[in-house]
Amino acid sequence: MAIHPDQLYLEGLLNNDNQIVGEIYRLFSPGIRSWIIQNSGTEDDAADIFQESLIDIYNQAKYKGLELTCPFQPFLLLVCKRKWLNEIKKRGSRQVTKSSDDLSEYGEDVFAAAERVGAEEEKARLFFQQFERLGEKCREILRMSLTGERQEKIAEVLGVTYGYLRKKKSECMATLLSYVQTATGMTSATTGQGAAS
Amino acid sequence: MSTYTNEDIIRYVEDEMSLEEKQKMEEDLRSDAALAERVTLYRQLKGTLEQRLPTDEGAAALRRTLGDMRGKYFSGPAAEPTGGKVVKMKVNVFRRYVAGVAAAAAILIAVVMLWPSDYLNSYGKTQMAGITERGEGNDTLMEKASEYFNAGQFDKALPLLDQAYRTDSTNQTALFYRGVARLHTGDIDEARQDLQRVFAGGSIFRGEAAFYMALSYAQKGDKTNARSWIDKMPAGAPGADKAAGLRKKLE
Repeated sequence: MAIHPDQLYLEGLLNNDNQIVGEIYRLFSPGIRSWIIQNSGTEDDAADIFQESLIDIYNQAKYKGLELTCPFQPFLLLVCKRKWLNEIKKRGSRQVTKSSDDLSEYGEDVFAAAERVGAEEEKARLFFQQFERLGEKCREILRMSLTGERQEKIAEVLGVTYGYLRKKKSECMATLLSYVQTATGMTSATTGQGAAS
Repeated sequence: MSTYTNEDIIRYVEDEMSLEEKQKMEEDLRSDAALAERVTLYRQLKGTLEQRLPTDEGAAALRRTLGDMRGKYFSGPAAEPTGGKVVKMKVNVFRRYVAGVAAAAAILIAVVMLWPSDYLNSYGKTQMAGITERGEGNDTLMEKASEYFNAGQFDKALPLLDQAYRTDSTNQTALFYRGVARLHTGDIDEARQDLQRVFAGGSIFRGEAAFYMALSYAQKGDKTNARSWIDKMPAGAPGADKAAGLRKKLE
């Protein structure tokens, strides 16, 4: 599918281009502010949602290679809406019922793209929430081990043996994986020994 | 349904299985959707951490720009960029984090109020990580040392940590915990020598070593040196929350 000319907004976010980011706020923030305020939110909520949605889009563009094949305005609006709906659900507030935007003119691809951004960023947030539950030492070992440095070098820096580092890293990752499985409602790991079926 | 552990999944993805194990697992993966889902989840988890654990300077810069724009285009109170992050996002996760920090701070304050002058007991508690790998002499020694250390039997942990460090002078874990143990047994000068050496190295314990140096001075009533060592702690180092509490208490 062809890249939409509005891809320039994604490029602007990726490059932290002041002018383009300013354009995004100038053109798109009024509509989103108004929608959130109409739907149980405050000015502050609208500012938070708008800002964090832009960060989500930046993350997807940077780490997942997101490219825009649809106009930016409905895409951003849907990302913001999804985020706000989740937020009010968490707060236990009443559901959103009002809608001031007719998005029916846009294709399924806009909805799909917005949904993908929201779902993937939610998952990434969940991973990091669970990562924060690990002990300090585990977090530090994983932080160093997962950034591409040679394991022997990391063991030296941490002042531990290579064998200990490998063992500990594996234990930390297994714990983290079990946290994530529980948080996502996935069946927990079995306790079987070794690879057996 | 296959009975693979999370460790098996990790070994498979990390290519640490024998050829026979790997072939068997691949066969099971074709018929076990739940297992395939667990493998996919681990790949996603690992990939996300690899990508996003390193500091993203671009995201930090963008957050600062967004903070500026927020002030211009929204009439509510503007978020203050702090350490590259806008801290006003009111999602529940952040609330829970703040609540957790507040609870920890409340506990810390309560502890400090109960023992106003015993800085070591108030702030000096730490657990030595268990060394579970067997079969290597020094690691077995460390395992035993950690049992004594975590039970608060520092006099018994000390000779073992000493032996471990003498056997391997690159063992920063032994050196750090020997320093902490010495602090608890009252051998302040020797404790400081160990902790200063750890601080001078580049190990994971560097920040905590600075914190325990601060504690050693606080314990002796030397607030100036205590503050100076708190200042030497690298930003975001483990123990930063305890250091903040200690600094407040020193004031």
